[in-house]
Amino acid sequence: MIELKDLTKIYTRNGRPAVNSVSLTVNNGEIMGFAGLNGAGKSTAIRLSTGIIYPTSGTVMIDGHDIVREKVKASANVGWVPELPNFEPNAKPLTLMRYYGGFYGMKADEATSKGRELLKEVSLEESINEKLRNYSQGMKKRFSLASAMLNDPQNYFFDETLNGLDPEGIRFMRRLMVDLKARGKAVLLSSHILSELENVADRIAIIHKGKIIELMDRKKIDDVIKTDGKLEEYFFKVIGG
Amino acid sequence: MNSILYELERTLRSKFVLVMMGIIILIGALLAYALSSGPTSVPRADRFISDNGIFTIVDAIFGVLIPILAVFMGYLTYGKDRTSGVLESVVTRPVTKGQLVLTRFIASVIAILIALVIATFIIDVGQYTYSYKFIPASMIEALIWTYLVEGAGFLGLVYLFSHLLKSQSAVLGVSIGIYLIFALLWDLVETIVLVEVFHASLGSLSSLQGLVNFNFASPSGYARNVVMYITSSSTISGISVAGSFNNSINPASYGITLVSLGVIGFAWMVVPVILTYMLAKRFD
Repeated sequence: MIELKDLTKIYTRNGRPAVNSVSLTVNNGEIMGFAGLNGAGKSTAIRLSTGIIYPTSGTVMIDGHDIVREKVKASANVGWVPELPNFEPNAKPLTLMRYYGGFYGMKADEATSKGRELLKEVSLEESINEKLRNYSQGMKKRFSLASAMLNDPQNYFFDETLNGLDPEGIRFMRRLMVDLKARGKAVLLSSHILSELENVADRIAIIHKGKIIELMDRKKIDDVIKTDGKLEEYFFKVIGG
Repeated sequence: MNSILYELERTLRSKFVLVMMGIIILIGALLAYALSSGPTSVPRADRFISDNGIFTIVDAIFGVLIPILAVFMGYLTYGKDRTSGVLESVVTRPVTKGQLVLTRFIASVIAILIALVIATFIIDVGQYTYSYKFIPASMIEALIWTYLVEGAGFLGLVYLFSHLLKSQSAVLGVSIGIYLIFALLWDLVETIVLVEVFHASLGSLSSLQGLVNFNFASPSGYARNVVMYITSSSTISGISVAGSFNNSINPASYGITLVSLGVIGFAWMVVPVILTYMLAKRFD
């Protein structure tokens, strides 16, 4: 379970908060859509939730563990796929899988075998011996996804994950999210492509200028779609655009 | 704990760390070759190279080599990854930023230590081949300690600046700047400061005291103070040779004692990395 409580992040003194008192809970077995324009605060909220940056105030609890104060325990159950994955360019995928596996207490052989299996799952088996600098952005995203699943974490953060994926990749991601939900995982999926969120999300949080301005449950999502045909019009109405 | 050991192993196995260790060992081997290639016409009993002489020769090479290798090691093991964003894919794993700083730093220091031990052993063999006399253990310990402090000091400085700067090019530029100011041009920097700021006249005893004090403010300068301690001579101290300190000195009267060298050496090894650790724990 992912719990964001009064989360605030201010990057520069006297600057506008990138994330402003955000409170949000993603339950186990739930896909929470995170919608907003570019610069609305989606990525910052996710980076705060995964421990990459520190909050100015507020807390993030991952399965009851504070991501700042109990980082090791909290991160043990976090899988993160960034919008623009960035890996050591000269490393090969399995080398990195072994490296990452070490943080979860996996032995080298175990991490290699699990890594190989996951790379096959994300259709990277043919590029397994290539260095990551030769990977396209879409391939890096697939690798990022495989590395996020290495320890089968309970909580996933997908930051604009569908961007840059080919149709096959998008279909794979949809199926994966449904599968993760069925397995009781908590998934936070950020996107500015509302049609993608409509299809898979149980709830959608709309974030604008750092604040959550609307939290829609599945019934409301369905009602809006029934009335307007899609979420887009409603989204712009809510953000005042 | 497992993650820390794994990070240590990974750093020690990385190619650039191995290359840097190889360079230190290779230079040690070249020094050993030079030491073993003295004139054979000299009778065995007279083939004497003083311990001070050995330290002076080693310092001339390692004093330049260790800082530049440590600076690049700091950039490649930490600074580059941190500023390029590569470290983010690691930070989301069950490890803290502080642990990452410490483990990568410790692993790099261990790599320098291993390379220094091997290089010193080879130099010792080179010395023995020619003079049939091993370098005393105390001198070997002093050699290893001095360049370990110098290496760890520069490494720590690059780690520290990696946390204060935002871009890869800025970290690389500052790393080179650290090498230039604190190693290559340190004699010049301290002399200019002494003369221009403190109006010291080169050659006076007070200016030598000033140089000794300034030397403690740089890992390279620290190594020079150790050489002064070992050789009881100020001639080693680069620019200071331009003055009139080519005489024997009593290091203790200038504050160069075993205690001061131990305390300041330890401080150079830990203070920059502790500051980096604190920055990593508190700031993005």
